[in-house]
Amino acid sequence: MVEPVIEERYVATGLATFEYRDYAFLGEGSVLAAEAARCAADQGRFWEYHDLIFANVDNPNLPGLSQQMFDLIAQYLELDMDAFGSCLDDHTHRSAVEESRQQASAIGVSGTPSILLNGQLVTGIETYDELFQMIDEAVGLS
Amino acid sequence: MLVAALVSVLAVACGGDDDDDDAGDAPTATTSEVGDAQNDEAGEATATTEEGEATATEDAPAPTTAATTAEEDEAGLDTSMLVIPEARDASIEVNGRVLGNPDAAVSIIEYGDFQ
Repeated sequence: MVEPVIEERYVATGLATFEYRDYAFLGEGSVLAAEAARCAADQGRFWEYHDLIFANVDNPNLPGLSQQMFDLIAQYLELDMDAFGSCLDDHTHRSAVEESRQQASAIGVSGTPSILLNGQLVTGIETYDELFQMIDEAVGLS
Repeated sequence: MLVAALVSVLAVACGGDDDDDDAGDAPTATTSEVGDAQNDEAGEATATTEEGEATATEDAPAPTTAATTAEEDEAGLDTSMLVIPEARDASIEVNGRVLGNPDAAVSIIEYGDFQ
């Protein structure tokens, strides 16, 4: 995972901001998960929800990206379950998720994780160390 | 025939009057409730049935909820099964989907997929 390093090295130190955007391209489960996270965001809990999805997507005790898992995480976070359920059932954020994917595709994103550094898509690197080296240079650490 | 006989017995048991034509309609109405609407009385029967269905509908949420709960129970899922990630550094500013000092000179954006 690239996020923990980015958060620790650049965000917690005040050197950079970090934003997560959806590029849900791996099927319906991906799209629903992105929607669920946005529904949690409506209740101010995006990052907790985001972290819990990633922590549990491969949890062998859970059924993967599914309504059950989304509800379970929402329950754990003590979200307003009526609002969360309606949001997910009504696909309140589906169009936004799709729009985000289209915007990403338009700037050249074709897989995940893809990183924009100061608005520019990072390409041509093969390892996270190379990515961190680029960020180091951008924030003046090297 | 069997249904009519049973209904007649029920009508008597419930205090109905076998000689009353209205009571005579009852079997038809009851029969209609099980999907055999064949005559004018079916209209009344349907109305009665709809009332019954309305009652059933009002009662529906409880069994539905119970079923949902049962499914969850059958699946055996509860929040204790979640892997709980380490809490984020509380000093990191959170602005919606953006973390960190908004005045930071560098922005990092990740396009990700939860899968």
